[in-house]
Amino acid sequence: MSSETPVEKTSKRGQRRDLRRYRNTVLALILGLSLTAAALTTVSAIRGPHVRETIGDLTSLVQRDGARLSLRVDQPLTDDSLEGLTITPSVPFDASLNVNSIDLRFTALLDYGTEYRISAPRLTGLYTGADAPLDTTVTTPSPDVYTLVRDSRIGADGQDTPDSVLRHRLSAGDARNDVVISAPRIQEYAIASKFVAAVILADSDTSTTVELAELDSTNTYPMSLPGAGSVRQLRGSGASGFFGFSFTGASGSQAFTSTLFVYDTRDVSGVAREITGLDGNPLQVIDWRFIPGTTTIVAHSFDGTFLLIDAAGDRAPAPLGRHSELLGIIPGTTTVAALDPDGVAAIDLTTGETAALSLGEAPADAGTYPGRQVIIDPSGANLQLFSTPLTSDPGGPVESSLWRVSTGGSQKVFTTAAPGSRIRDFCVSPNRQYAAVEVASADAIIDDYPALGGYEGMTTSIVDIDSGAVLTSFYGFLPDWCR
Amino acid sequence: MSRSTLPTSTRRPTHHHRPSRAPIPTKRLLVAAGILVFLIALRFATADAAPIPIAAARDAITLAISVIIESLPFVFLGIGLSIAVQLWVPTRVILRILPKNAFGRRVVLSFLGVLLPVCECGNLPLARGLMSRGLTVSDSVTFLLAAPILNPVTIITTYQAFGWSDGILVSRIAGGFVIANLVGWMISRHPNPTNLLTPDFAASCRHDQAALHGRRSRGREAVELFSRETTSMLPALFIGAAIAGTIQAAASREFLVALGGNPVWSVIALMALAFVISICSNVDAFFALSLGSTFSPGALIAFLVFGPMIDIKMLAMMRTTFTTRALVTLTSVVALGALVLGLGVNFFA
Repeated sequence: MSSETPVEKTSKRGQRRDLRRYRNTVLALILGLSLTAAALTTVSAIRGPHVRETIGDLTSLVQRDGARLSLRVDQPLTDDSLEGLTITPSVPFDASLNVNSIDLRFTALLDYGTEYRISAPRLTGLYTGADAPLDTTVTTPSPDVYTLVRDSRIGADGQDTPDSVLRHRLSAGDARNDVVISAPRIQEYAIASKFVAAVILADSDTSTTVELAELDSTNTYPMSLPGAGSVRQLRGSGASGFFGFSFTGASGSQAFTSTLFVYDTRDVSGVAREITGLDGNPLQVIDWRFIPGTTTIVAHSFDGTFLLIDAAGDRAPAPLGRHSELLGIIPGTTTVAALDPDGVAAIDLTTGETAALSLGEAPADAGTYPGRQVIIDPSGANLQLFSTPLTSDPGGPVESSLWRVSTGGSQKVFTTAAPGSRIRDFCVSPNRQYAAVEVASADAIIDDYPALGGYEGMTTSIVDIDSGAVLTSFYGFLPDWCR
Repeated sequence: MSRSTLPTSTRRPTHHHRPSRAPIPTKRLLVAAGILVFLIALRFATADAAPIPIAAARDAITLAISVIIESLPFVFLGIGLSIAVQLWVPTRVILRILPKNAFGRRVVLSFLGVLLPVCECGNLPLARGLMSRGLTVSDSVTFLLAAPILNPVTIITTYQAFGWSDGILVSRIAGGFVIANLVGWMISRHPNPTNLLTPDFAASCRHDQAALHGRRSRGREAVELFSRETTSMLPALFIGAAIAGTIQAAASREFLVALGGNPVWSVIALMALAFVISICSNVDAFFALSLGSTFSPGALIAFLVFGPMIDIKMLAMMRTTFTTRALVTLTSVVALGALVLGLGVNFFA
């Protein structure tokens, strides 16, 4: 016979009930979580591989040959998963498999603002054996394009209308533009990273200042120059945030003549720094360029030597040989095009090797007078300007046309629509897709700026090099692609 | 519906005498002797076998020491905070600022790590201190599991490592909170949660509650608390670190990485890795980042949620406070919760 009282018995029963309830809770929790885990395991195992992430700098796809893109898949794939891999619109590429990543290397520059569809009929999981088709897209960016508008009109208040640098959207039908910097007389400008710099003419036109502004801010501030003088050949490095210019003037007792200076937008001192040549003295340049997106400079010094310079470091310049003229950097490459007495040379900065370029010949009917020539790819294909007088008057109207010339053939890309209107200059987009063509009307008056003279009321047309179609036209000239 | 359990101090009669130093139990001596005999037998049985490579032994020692060095500051910080809470924060203050509702109290305690950002190994002494001051076992376990994840240092380092990519940061915070509260709720259903504690620790809690009414100086009390906590924690830390170091040196990392390719096995593999390497929650995000290219986001999240809550070192330390059965239950629920979280992220992300 038990010695427990009824109260103790009830209490023990209650404790047992509570303990049972706790155990049931634990079991239910473990069972519920186990079932959920089992369900997720099952559906994960039977589902085929799918792209989890696209890794790569989309901007580099439209700026640099050999840019890479990786499609990270959620599981390792079998080797045959890449069979039938296609990209639409068609673009040359190499594909390789790296465990759970499909690595794509594009051997040509991609078009702006284009959706590329990457497809494969069957990706197979290495461990799960499950398969699924690959169907993913990447859209390349459309860059902004900048132009300079020199405005000589008198406003309602009797004052000169200021000059402006306008930002435009590079897509057909998008006519939006906005002013990123304005000043009474802007001689030239450049874009680097998120900054714009403009060379402002003083009233006398004999000296200049440089104003800086953030692209999305209206605030401007002066760049600290070496002294009083004139700034020319202002250029921006792109994403690396450097500006460079040649300066002629004096600082105290020191005189500068076409001396190369660089300005780092991230340098808190805000002072432009001179570049020195092989002899350690300030480098005087005939012409110079940034390798786009880097802080590396190719300069053509007064003595004719090409120099490779690291603007961000203290390393001594590396000589690249003597050449007659610096033609530019071939878009999408790190190859410098240089003019020599016997032709055009291509200097590959990654290897230091120099090779002759065959540029091809334009047809005889391209135009009477050949003009500027811009090499657009490493094969030597180039754009060349031709002018044909419309009358026998030497100062009369001309017809301007732009031709794509290569050893494989030539084709007309653009010609001015109105009789007598002329192409002032042109340049090529960083992805070689478009030409920016500056057009002045037949009756346009030459402006009175001391350098980089233009015409009043100029427009810039963006022309597809392959098809010759005009994508859009902007007000202004000196597009930043030419800077 | 969660049941609001009473503070442990109200469940047991208080004793107004300090327990005398207990003699070393016969059971422990037998276990120690058994291990010694086993090791001697192993030595004779493997006399002809190839010796353990010196490099592997060196790796194991280095890894164990690295775990100890990484953990030790947080252990002492946690002990210091624990002593401060026990001696200088009156019970009534703790109980007054916490919600009366059990669910609300656990939610608030989940975020206590924001104010006391110590690593998981420092949270254990603090959780022990909170229990000594009258908080329930479920409250303290909720804090213990949540605090290593829901604290600013862990959140910032996770953000530094992963930013907002793949929802790793958000999943870690949300997953840590939900699992900690789920386990807290489960324990709150126990009719007598004190039974989940080891007898020694339960007795010390009772003693601490009794000591509240004593008249000894706080300085002397702090020294005694420090001595008791370090005596409990440090051997457990050293043993846990030694086991973690040995397994890391013995287990093939390549094997774990090979598993990383499978959407299911990758989650399990990284949970196993987190369990073995016993890395501190304040720095584990950077370790996980190095695995980011091989393992899925779900696996990384499971690693970052499971590791701070349960690992070899923590289990060894928690064994000073909780019974084996309680730890098995707690580990099972946390592991399953982290597994579901990882698999779910892999499937839906």
